[in-house]
Amino acid sequence: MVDLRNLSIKKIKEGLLDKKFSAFELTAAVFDVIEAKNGELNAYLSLNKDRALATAAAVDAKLAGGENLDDLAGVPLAVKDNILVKGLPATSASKILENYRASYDAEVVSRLRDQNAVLIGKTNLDEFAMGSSTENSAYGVTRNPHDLNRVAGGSSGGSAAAVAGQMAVAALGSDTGGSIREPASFCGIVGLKPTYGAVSRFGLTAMASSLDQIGPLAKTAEDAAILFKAIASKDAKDSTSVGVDYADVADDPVLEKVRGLTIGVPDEYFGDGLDQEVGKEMERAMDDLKSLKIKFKKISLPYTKYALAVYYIIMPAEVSTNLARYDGLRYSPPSEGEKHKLSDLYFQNRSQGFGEEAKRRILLGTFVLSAGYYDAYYLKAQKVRKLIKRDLEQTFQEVDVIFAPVSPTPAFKVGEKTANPLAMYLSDIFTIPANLAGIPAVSIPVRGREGKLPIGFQLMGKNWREKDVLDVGRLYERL
Amino acid sequence: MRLTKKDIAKLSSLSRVSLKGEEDKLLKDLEEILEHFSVLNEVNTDSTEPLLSGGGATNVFRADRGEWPYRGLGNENFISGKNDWMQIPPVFE
Repeated sequence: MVDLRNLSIKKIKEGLLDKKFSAFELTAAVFDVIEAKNGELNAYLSLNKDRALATAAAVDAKLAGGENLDDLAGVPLAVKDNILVKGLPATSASKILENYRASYDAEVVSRLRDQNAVLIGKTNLDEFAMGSSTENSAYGVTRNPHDLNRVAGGSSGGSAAAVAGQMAVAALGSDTGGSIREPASFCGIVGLKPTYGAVSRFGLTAMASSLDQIGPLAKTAEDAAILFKAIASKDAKDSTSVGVDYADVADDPVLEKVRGLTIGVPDEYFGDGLDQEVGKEMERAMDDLKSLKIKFKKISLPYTKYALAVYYIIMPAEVSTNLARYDGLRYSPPSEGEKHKLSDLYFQNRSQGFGEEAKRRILLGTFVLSAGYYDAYYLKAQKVRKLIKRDLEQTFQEVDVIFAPVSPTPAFKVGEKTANPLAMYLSDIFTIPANLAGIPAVSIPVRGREGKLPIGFQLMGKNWREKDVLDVGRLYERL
Repeated sequence: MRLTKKDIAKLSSLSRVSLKGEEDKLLKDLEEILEHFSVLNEVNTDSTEPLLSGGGATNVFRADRGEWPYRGLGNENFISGKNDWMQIPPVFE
């Protein structure tokens, strides 16, 4: 039996080359854990067992034939259910896509296949990635492997729970306002939101197109770097993707170089509303980083307090536009009830197919875009977004990395915030600025919390400098 | 910002989403959220351009020239022309 605990991507390659286990045995072991745990965690919505085992067997055959293995060959990976994998369901955790199967691979999935990664299955999320707890899924809540009474975070809660629960070695998620970093923090793993444009969004079910970005969730910063390197690319099918050279992003960090970085600590992220325990753990993590002789500097980001309002105007506006395509004629199963005209079909299908949060955001987005309110809300938010971005750009002339909490609290209880949407939205308060500005940000678990609820800290970096934030994380993990 | 049930009905119609029994909850939720948005009124944005794309990318336009390089090339296929313009027989008398 393969021991999946602490099994990193690098260790898998070593294990396969040293013949400690085969890719088939490793994949079979992952499915054994899924069978034992997925019932209570609900991390996966669908599995890809036959094809996964076939891919693993093919990797073993290549190895036996003396072929070189790519970094991700034989590595069991999970994929969030809003990312298309040809032939597999792609529900985005919505009833409106209940019967939809992807007819093509997302670009990121093609790149994983090129490396012979083993795709285990599709993971749960908040419907269309709208939420911070994976409680908005039409297929049930995903629970936190560290405490089943608590949420796994969201919207990539299924991916985070799968990795933390040893049901995948790493996973893909998407991050629009913190949807990779917050669940990573709640589940005690690493989550990277890349720079906007670093990873192709082709084949990602669109939520808010100016903010969405696909990224890795993994057990270590090194694994996140390896997975990120594999998926980062310029893609002609996504005009927002940019061809940046990430050849060295997963290289071993050099301590002397990292000591040359300056980390900024913004006052605005450590005020009222931050849970006392989270605050203490942030201090402890900073003390550990200071022991590496990395320079710290106090900074101020005065426009931070407007980020939540800006996000919750721009995001629903884009949601209401992107979700207009679900009209009952394509993708969706037929709705129940009599239809006398075309508009009946639209109303019935959308009303039965969308959940409460999706409807709330569609209506909110429709409102801020409607005549008479566009300038006061949407245009105003776009202007303040510019100021938030400028705020960060100016700060990055003084510092290289920004240190902050990921979430104001550790994982909260299932049902604790569902009745109050604004309270739920406040969970995203520290992660949203990175999405609005398009910069990379990673969530790293605070060390030494065995037996307690995990808490993560966040490192934000300059555009295209994922290596800076990942290297700081990798050196912190080695302490 | 105060919303009414009529506003919710209008939004429901525009969104093609019916809200049977959900109107009161949505009205309350949206009012609370819109109230939070009022914090943006503190910010002076008079001289700020809106940010329109996630990556800050901008369109690259060619020079706006008042000429068309292909003008005149098809004239030989027409009965007559004048000053690079093609002339066709009248269709309606």
